[in-house]
Amino acid sequence: MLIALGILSVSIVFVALVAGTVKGTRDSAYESVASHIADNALVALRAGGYAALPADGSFDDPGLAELPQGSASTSVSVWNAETKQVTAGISWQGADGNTRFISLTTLVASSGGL
Amino acid sequence: MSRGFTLIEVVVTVVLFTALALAVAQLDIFYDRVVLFQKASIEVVAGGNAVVDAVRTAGLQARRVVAAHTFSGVEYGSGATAVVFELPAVDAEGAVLPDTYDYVAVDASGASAFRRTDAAPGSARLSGEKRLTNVLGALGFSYDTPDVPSVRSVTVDATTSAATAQLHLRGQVRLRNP
Repeated sequence: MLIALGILSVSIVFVALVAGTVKGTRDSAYESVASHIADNALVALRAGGYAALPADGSFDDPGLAELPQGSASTSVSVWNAETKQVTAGISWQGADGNTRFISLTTLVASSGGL
Repeated sequence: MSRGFTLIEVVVTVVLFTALALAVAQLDIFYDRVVLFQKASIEVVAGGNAVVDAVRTAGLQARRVVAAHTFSGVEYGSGATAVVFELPAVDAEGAVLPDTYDYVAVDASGASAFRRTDAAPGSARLSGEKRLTNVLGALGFSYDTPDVPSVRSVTVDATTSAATAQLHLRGQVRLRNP
């Protein structure tokens, strides 16, 4: 009886640990996809230049299809008279059901820069 | 007077121990499957990131995309399945060597993706090849223009897959040193 209880307890702990690591691995994959989407968005916005920076809003990316309930948005704010701060944010539903969010930020100047 | 076990007691004990042994065996099989799945998932994520990061790192330092270059006697060309960058060579202090260039290619061969480097004499970069992943499903490159010398933006699509895990990553790099 004690042996059976011991094995049952170990099994429950084991399954709980496995479930946690599987979720962690899945979240890692989602985060990789999300960070590349955000990075690509910033590359595109920087390439477009200061004058073409959009207003705040959502944007589409093929990679969002790989994220559960994935959505992407950019926000543009004035940093100073000749510079704007651009943030690309990605949100998705994590493996545990909670909403995850990452964002990347850059500065785009009205003259010079890359 | 000492008393032995009845047949029923022995049978029940054997059945219980058999059930426990089966449970332990199933746990072991389940554990092996989980380990394989986790390993595949990690390889898929790491491999995809390695490929996209290699293209991005080389592209950010590149002067231009070249149509072809020879690495260790084998010519690799920029196209839908490979890209070859020309990078200004730098010395150990990070100073740019004038009119001297290194070449970096990223290409696929079967389920593997490679980064190949042909460094100029005096460059801090090291010539050689590095396997970026061995779980590649597909690797594709697209450019902002079909005219290779005029390329300013490279997009890489890398799909990695192993066991039941699969990942598709897309990276875009814009050349900053044309």
